Order: sequence, then structure tokens, then C-alpha cells
Amino acid sequence: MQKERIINRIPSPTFRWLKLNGTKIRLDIASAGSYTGLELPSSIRESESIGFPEDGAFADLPSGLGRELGDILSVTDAKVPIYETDQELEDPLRLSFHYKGVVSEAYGACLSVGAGGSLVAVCDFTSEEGAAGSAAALTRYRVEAGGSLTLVQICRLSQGMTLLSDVGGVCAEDGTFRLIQLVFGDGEVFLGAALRLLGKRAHLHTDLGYLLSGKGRLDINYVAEHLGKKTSCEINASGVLRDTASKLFRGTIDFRKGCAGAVGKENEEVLLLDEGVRNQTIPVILCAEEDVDGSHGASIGKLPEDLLFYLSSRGIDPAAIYEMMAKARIRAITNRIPDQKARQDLESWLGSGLDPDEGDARMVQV
Amino acid sequence: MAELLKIEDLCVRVEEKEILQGLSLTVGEGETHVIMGPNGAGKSTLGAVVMRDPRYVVTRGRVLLEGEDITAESPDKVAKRGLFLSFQNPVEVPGISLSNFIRTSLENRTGKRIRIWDFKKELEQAMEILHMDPSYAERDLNVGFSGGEKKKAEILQLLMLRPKLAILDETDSGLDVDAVRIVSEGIEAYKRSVGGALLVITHSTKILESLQVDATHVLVDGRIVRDGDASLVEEINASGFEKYAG
Amino acid sequence: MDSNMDNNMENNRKEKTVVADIDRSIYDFRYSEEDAYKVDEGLTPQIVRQISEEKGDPDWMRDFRLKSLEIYNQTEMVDWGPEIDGLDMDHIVTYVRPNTERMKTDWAEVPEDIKDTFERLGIPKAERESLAGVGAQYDSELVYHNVKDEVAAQGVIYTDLESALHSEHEAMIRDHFMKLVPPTDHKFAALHGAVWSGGSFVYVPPGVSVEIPLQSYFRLNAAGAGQFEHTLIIVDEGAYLHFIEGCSAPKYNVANLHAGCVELYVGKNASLRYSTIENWSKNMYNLNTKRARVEEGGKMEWVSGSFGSHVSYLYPMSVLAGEGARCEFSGVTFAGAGQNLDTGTKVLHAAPNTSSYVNTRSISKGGGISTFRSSVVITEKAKGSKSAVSCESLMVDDISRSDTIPAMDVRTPDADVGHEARIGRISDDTVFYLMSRGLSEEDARALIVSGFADNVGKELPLEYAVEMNNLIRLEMKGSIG
Repeated sequence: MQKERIINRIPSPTFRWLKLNGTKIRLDIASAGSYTGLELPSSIRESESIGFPEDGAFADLPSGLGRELGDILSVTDAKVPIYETDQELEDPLRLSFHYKGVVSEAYGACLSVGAGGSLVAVCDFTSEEGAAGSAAALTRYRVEAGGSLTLVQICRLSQGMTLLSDVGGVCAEDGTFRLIQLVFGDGEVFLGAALRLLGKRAHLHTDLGYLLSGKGRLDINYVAEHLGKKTSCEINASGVLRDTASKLFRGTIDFRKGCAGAVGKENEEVLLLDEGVRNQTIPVILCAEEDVDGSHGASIGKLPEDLLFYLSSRGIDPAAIYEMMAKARIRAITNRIPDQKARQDLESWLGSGLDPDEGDARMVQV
Repeated sequence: MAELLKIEDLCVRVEEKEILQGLSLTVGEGETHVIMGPNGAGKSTLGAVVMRDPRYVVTRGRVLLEGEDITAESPDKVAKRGLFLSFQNPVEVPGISLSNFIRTSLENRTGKRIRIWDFKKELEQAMEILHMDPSYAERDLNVGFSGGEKKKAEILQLLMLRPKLAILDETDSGLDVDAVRIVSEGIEAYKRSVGGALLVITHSTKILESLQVDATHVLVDGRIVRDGDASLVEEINASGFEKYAG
Repeated sequence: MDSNMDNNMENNRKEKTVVADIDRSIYDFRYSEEDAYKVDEGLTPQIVRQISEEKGDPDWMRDFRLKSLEIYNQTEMVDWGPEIDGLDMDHIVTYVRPNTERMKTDWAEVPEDIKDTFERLGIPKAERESLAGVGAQYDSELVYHNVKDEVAAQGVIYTDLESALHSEHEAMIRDHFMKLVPPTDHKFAALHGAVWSGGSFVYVPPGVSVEIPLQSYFRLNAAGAGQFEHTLIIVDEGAYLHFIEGCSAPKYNVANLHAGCVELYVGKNASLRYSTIENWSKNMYNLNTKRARVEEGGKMEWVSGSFGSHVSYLYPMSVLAGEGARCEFSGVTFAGAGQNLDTGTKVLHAAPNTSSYVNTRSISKGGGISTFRSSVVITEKAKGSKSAVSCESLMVDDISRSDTIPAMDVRTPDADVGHEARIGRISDDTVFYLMSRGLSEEDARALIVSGFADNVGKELPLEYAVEMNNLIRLEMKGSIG
């Protein structure tokens, strides 16, 4: 019997009957996972982590999914790499995971960007038809002064697969962390991200895009911790639910005492297309500091009337408008992937026809 | 001249307020009509109602296009019939490029597949007329566009979609002198190539200087209180709307 | 010397023209506790029976109380929200009956000291200024009650709940009492069900529009007494009512508990506005439950100002049960030193084409903690529903706290749900602008906060808006301890 755990706990619980303070799942992971594909940029340094996730520089980093999940990896004896650079690397680090058959594996990695360095890491999670089970990917990062790290995670999993991804890390002064997560299909995906802005003017930007179908399920817990002065964050989530898919988004902006001058923005847009979908959203702002500017907005359900009218006035009928906007919502996020190869791969998989020479722009049902 | 648009005694309510209170108007094919009036008179409402914004409720009267009653039709249907509205404040739509959007609109309007090469050429030419940087074609629709650029993007759509009747809602508001001139050139180009009718809604008259105005209507408190020809525009310019106010 | 005195008097006069003075200390008086009867401390079934017998409850109500006590004993405390450790339920006297007979209808017959309490609180004045009637609760018992002729002539029933229970309205009360907020709702609802005492009952017949707001007051006196009044309002089809609930209590050393309950039934096409300024003293635990059920085409408006109490849990809830039902909620919460106010609203859209509109503001100052907590649930049946929630928070200094915890649960695609929140500080630019027009910095900041609370201020009858603005000014000037 797998161990019952509560993951994705929200820092500030609320009315219990809403059932979104945390999520109960049964999970044990049998073995260490390994990537299916790895491309390292030249001049990146690789070493091995000891005692992940409580390893020296990466100890005490926050977790979105839950710190107790650290035991998932240690049980498996997984070897966890540390990828480091203090240069501005042009080529991205690419990791791909392709799951087959019965799946029960966990993977961990640390990313470290030294002062003035920059790195883009792209992780692609896909599964073979009929793959079933659970996979976990735990990522820890550090960004030193003036450094920049972009982490892109693309999940395209089918029914039967469960993926848990936890991202936790810290930015020092003037450091930037960018997280882009895209989720497609009808698998079950849990995303946790706890992103600490420690140094002055550290900046965080997250973009989440999703298109869920079938009985797909997405459960998210984002926490942006503002500790340093003049830190800033922007959290965007934009997606589409069809068939009987469901999604729970918890996004917390936490202005701690001392983060004077901080700015935090959170925005969520959800398009609900079919009967049977369910959307839960809880955008939280916690504030113990006077000199801050925090805001959040959420828009759920139908398209705004002014948008509907504008598109309709150009001769596009309602069904086509929704299809078009579903596509647009996703593309707005995929457009932000800084790696052209990953972006183009994804676009052609979606059949988006952004390239005008491709012709027909029809959304592929996934 | 055949009747294109006929509005009969139209009363319109939005959010429990009566805005139009018995408005009647006829526009013939290829004619240029100007609607002027003070703020709050109902000018934008008129544009929105003719284009069938569902938020505006017609409580009395009719709108006929080419003799057919469109009072209860949906906006996409009237668009397909050849009506176009240039919005005063166009919405931003991230994730769709300006070019893709125009192409999709064209395909929906004509029901036919558009040949990419021809389309791109035509779009380029239209953008040139409007002095729009070609890079705007791939930018997300209206996202981050300045006021002037948004208006140009509307007129770009006017040129590409070639409607029978175009309603221009305060197209010159918020534009500097150069932008007004450029937008006027775009409208002229539309008249030359398509010969469509224009319903120009404005409360200033900069944009009319280059147009051949066939009729002018003064809209005050939801009604047309005065009809005239092009010279009425001069008169309003000189003495304002006061003598028409209720 | 003289000129100094003149200056002082001049300044005082100026003060008074700028701020209509309500001296906070008028709330701090109390009388000796020559109360006729006190129930034993502690919460046993015997106590509950005693209370029930004292009130001459019908059998069903006595059984209801006992069942509620059972539920209370079996229910867990909440594990979120402000700490209520300072509440020791075993030492709160739950019921005290003051030194007078049951309800009086004529002001002149009310005992002097009790009358004096209300005179000082300004109730007769309010009545003169055309409020329809006043139900006032003194130490858990409705003392004074007066329904104006014109309201009674329309068929409106406005009385205290306990005597209504012994009248021809018993059946109506039985049909509605704690059906909207059942004892199982949470621990303090169960407590309320067991020991409730006093409160108002209003019934407005079909089609009747009550032009003048009905009002109720209540206050605590005895050290450690809890307040468990129950308000039950039924607005029948097509009727209209505005009900005002305002309260205040003096300070004590012993923690005070308010676990009241308000149940509002808004009938088909009816309309109810419920305005409150909660101004409990700063050692009160305010655990109040308010809920409205709105039928087809009905409209519910909440106007809520939360200023006092040490700890508050307050989330007026609207259940939109009939097609086209609507609710609006305007609220302002001001948490000052020593206060932890957890307030907000809950809306349940359970029918098609329903709409909700929520606009709240919260202010945190002097180490106060203000939390906005809400939920909007749109069920599968609520097609065509719209909800718009807007909450703004103002941080007045860097020692206070403000949290915003809204939740949305949408189960139909045919819905339009929007939410926006903002938090920030008082704008230096605005302060500078006001100061450049002659206001002191303190006055400028007070004015900005008053303006910020305007969403509620403009919805209240003038007298209440003035009281609210005065409260804000006093809070901002730090003259309240």
C-alpha cells in the first residue's frame, strides 16, 4: 500500500470544506529515474550532489510540493547531478524524459548560476501510449548576484501517468529566475514551485500554460517569497480546460517584513470549454510590509464580452472564436520559450501553423 | 443610389439606461455619412448596436441591411454580410498575431482558403499605405500597441476585409496630427479600392478634412436632431453643439 | 496667558468643525452588576435545560438546544484563522437577565439606569430621526422594543425573537430557525444553537416596501457575559426592507464572546439590505455567523463595517438559490493595535443566471492584522452566472499585517468569474497634495483612509456614515487605546 501524503500545501490554509488546503495522494517511488536524453552546453560544469536535497548550498531551499518529498529521492539512491556555470551560456541544457510501460521513478537535479552567468534549461516530459505509473522530478536552484536562470518544463503525458515536479530555489541580489511550465493532455500533473527572492532587486517571472483534456488533472502550488528589498515577481497562468478536466491553482505572493519596495503581480486566465470541467483558484497575497505593491487578477469561465464582440465583429463565429482563443492562450505562453528549437518542436506538435507556409491552423486534439 | 443601411426609430438600452431614443438614419451604397454630437449622446452606442453588440438591447425599431432585418442577428453574421466596425478602444489579444488574425477573419468572411503568398503581399501593401512597420504583422494583436498603432491596425483590417459599409468609431481620437493624416489616407484608399459606404462617428472633425461627405447628422440625447450636408460640419466646428442640446 | 487660552479654545473649535467629536469614552461606562439572575458557569445539559425553562421554550426548541449542545461537544475547532486561545468557555456566563420585566413597548416605562445606557448611546435621538423602531438588547435580554405604527399597519412583524416564539408566529419560526445556519455548520454555530438568547424577528409581507430602516442594538454589560442573540428576518415575495445592526460594548478585563447568528430569507423578487457597523470593544471575540438565502429574482445587499473586537471571524454568506438571484457585498475592515480581524464573504451560486458583486476594503494599522477571506462557488446548475470580486488593502505602517485569501470554485463553463485584489500603502503623492492644501499630515492620512472606506460609507444612512468616519479618524489619530 503506497504511503499517503499531503502535497502542495498552501502556506495560509482557509475554509476546510473547500478542500484545497493541500492535496492527498498515495505515492511511493520504487527507483531512481534517468533521463532519456541529455544535451549539455559546452563549458557547463557537472558534479554530483551529496545528500540531496539537503546538500550544502542547496540545503534549506523552500519547496512547493513539500519538503518531506525529499525522502522520495533518498530512498531510491538516485545520483543527483549539479549543473553549474558562471558564464552566459547560449546553448540550453536539455533534458528529456520519455516514460514507457510501468513507471515508478524519481529524478533530481541542481542548477546553479554564478554571478553574472546565465543558463536556460529545458525539460521535456513525454510518455508512450499505455505508460502508467508515477514519476517525480525535483529541481533545486541557486542564482547568484546578477545571474539569470530560465527553467522550461513541458509535460505531455497521457491518462495513466502521474508526474510530480517540484522546483525550489533562491535568487541573490539582482538575480533573475524564470519558470515556464506547459502542460498538455489527460495525465495527472502536480506542480510545486517555491521561489525565494532573497537579494535586493531579485526578480521572478513564471508563466504557466495548459490545455487539459479527457480526465486530465493539474494541481499547482506556487509560492513567491519576497525577502529582499525591491524584489519583484510576475506570475502568469493561462489555460484551457475541456472534456472533464480539472485544475487547482494555488498562487501565493508572500511579502515578508523587510521587503520594502517589492512588487508582486499575479494573473490567471482560464477558459472553460465543456460541461464537466472544474476549476479551482486561490490567489493569495500575504503582507507584512508596508511599502509594497501587490496585485492579482483572475478571470475564469467564458471569454470577456468585449473580446467576444471584437472577434465576432470580424466575422468569426462563436465556436471558432473559442477554438482560436484556446490556441491563442497557449501560444501566448509558448511564444515565451527562449529556446527556438523547443518552441518550434512544440508548435509543430500542436499543429499551430504559426509558420504561415504551413497552411491550415487546426488545433490538434491531444 | 441603392439603400444599404436603414435604421428605423431605434431605441436602445444598455445596463438599464436608455441611450438611443428613436434614432432613424439611411445610408446609401458608397455614401459617406458623418455622425457628430456631444459626449454621451449615444454615438458609440449607435456603432455598437449596428454591429450587434449583444450587451445593447434594442427595445424598439429596426436595423435593415440591404433590405434585410438584421436587428436580431449575431455580430459575426452581420460581419459576413459586409459590415465592419473600427473600434475606439480595440482589445488586446495575446497569442494571435495581427497577420494571422486578419487571415482568419478573411477566411471566415469569404468561407474560402486564402493563398498565403497573395495574402502576404496584399498585407504588406496595406501596411505601407498606413506607414506601419512590417514587424507589426507578427506582433500579438494590439498587445502593447500605442493608441495610434491600434487605430492603424483597425484601418489595416478595414483595407484587408473590404466591407460594404464601415463604421468608424472616433477613429481620430487620441491621434496626433501625423497619425490622423495617415489614417485618413488609409480610409481614402479604402474608398478608392472598395467604394464602400462610411459611417464616421466623431466629435472632432480632423478626420473629415480629406473625405467627401455626403450627409451629416447631429446626435444629441439619443436622437438625430439635425440632418445636413457637408457644410453642417463647418457649422458645428464654428458654433458647437449647444444650440442642439436638450 | 489669555491669548494662549484663546488659542486653545480656537483650536478646539477648529477641531470640532473638522471632526464631529464622538468621545470614545462614552462607550466605556458600565453599571454595577445588580443583575437578577445568573446561570452557573460552564456548559452542561443542565445549564441548557435551565435556560430553556427560564425562557418557557416550546418542547421542540428545548430539544433543539440539547441536540445543539451535543453537536458542540463533538465538533472540532477550526484549524485556521486567528488564535482564540484567550477564550475559556468554562468561565463565560452565558446568560444574564437584567433587572427588568420582559419587553416594554413604551420607552417611558423602561427602568432608569437601563434607559440611561441607551440615552447615552444615542438611541432615542436615532428614533427621533425617523428610524422605524429599535430593538435593544441589554445583557442578553431584549429590554426595549418599539415598532412604529406605520410599520405595524403594513403588516410588518417586528418583535424580539423570544416573544415571537410564544406567539402565533411560532410555526414560521420553527420552519426557518437555524435551517440556514444549522448547528452543524461549525462549533460556534452549535454553541449558539444551545444557548441563544434574544434577538430580533422581522417578517415583511408580500409586496410591502418598508421605507424606513429597522434597527437593532445590543450590548454587553456583565463581566464575561456572552452574547448569543439570533436575528431572523423573512422578506416575503416582492417586499423590501433595510435593516441596520449596530453595536458597541465597553471594555473588560475578562474576554468577551459574541457568537450571534443572523439568518435572512429573501423571497422571490424581494429585496433586503442589511447594514452593520461592528464596533465591539477591543477585548471581544466576535465569532458571528450571518447567512442569506435568496430566491428567484431576489436581491441581497450587505453593507458591513468591521472596526472593533480583539478577534473577529466574520464571513456573511449569500446562497443564491433561485434563478436570477443577486447579491452585493460592500465591506470595510479596520484592524488596529491588538486586533486580528478575519473577515470576508462567501457566495454560493446554485441557480442559473445568478450574479454576485463584492467590493471590500481593508486597513491595517498599529500592528493590527487584517485578513480578507472569501469563497465563491459556482455549481453545475448555475449556468449563466457572473461573479466579480474586488478587494483592496491599505497598509498604514510597517508593523501591521494584511492578508488576502480568496478562493473560487467553478464547475460550469457557462460562467463569468472575475477577481481582482490590490495591496499597497498610502500614497506619498496624495499626502503631499493634501498637505499642500493646508491639512496636517495626520489629518491628510485620516482623510485618505476615510476616502478609502467610502465604498461602505456611501451605502450607509448618513448618521452611520458619520459615525464610521469618526471612528476612522479616531483610529487614525491613535486616540483609541
